[in-house]
Amino acid sequence: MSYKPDEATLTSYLYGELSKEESAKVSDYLAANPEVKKELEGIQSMQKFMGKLQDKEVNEPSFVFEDSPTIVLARNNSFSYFLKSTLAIAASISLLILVGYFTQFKVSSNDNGWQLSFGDTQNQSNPNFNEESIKTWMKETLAANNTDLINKINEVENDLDEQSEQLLATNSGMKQLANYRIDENLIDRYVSQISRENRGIILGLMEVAGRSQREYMEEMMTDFAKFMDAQRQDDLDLIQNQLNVLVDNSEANPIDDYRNSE
Amino acid sequence: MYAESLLDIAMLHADTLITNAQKGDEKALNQLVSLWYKRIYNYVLKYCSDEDTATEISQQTFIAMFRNIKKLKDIDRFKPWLYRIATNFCYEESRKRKRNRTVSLTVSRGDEDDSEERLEVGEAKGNFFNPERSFQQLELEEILLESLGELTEDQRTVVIMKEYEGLKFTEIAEALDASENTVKTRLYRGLKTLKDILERKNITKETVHYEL
Repeated sequence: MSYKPDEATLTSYLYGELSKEESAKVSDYLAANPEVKKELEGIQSMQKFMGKLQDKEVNEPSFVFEDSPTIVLARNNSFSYFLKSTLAIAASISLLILVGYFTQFKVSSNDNGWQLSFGDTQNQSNPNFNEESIKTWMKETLAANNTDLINKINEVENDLDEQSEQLLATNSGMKQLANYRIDENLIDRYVSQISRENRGIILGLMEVAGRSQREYMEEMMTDFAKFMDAQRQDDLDLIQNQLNVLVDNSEANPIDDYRNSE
Repeated sequence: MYAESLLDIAMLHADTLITNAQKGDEKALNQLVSLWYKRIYNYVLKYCSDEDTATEISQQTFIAMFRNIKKLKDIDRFKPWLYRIATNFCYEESRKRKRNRTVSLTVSRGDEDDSEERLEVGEAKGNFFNPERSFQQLELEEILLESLGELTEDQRTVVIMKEYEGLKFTEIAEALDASENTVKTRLYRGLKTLKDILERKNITKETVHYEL
């Protein structure tokens, strides 16, 4: 028997998704192949206790939609959150009240003003503490303050004086510097000296250049004269040679001359 | 058709909710969160075995849902679409953790050995009263979570979606952008690996029935 179901078919068989015909074929195959059958049975029995892994209960969060597409995860269970925060505030207030009670914290008001106290309140009205005394005290304080202020102003003025003196000194220095005018004649002299020197240099250069130019020209003219002489000499030699050739020719052929004369 | 629970009643109106949410109805959006938050949270929790991460990913999933629900063309596909968003965030988180080399999503060998040892202690104590049973229920849940964490990402996703979330194969295929055949193959391999892991931890049908 050559039929062998693949793993996908075995899965379909496991989940009862095969047709009767196909299912029968797989059953036959399993009957003939006990190791595969055992494997399948193992899987089936495992599937039964896989369900022991149960779902965990979870509170789904609620999402707050700000301007789309921004999505913000809201706090879970907003009511319980509100309850918790209210309780927390209430507990804090109760604690404050308790602490106030135990420390005998009191707030009272009388002719002298408001009074915060822990424990028994004491009347701390001071008979010397009247309008006159306050005025005197204020005057004294103001006077002391004024003296301080005047001293400080004097100090600052002194500082300023010192600084202005320094500034003046600096200023006069600057002025002195400004007075140092450079003499125009000096400049003229300097410029004329430079131009003189320059002229000298240029003249020297011209002289040297002219001299060498002249020497070169003379040399060249001499060479040219020599060349012309040599050339003339050569020409003369050539003419002489030609004449000699003519003379030789006329001497060598007298008969021809004769015939020609005839 | 009789609805069995409030969730089922709400589900009957889910289409209207989704349509309203697509129009930007804030109330409808929050109602969708109420409907689906527990499911998505538990799905992610089974994937990553960490409550804080599960909360974070679930919130990210719903924020992404708010931002993108208008783009959902077929409201019948809302469920796989939502699972797809959650799965993507799970994968992203998984990659981040691997990159940062911090606490692994999967269980380390040391923890595994420890859990085996603890289970043996539980066995020795016996099961004569409820607190003990409850304790062992927690133990079993922990082992199951650990074992799921040992599967590959693909297998884990498929196993949780099918076994715990009850998604149809077509829905899983759509959520994972894979063919149904691929999903079935992954599921088979995942279940087989999970069975082997649990057997290694001495959690079989016999021991579980004995324990609980």
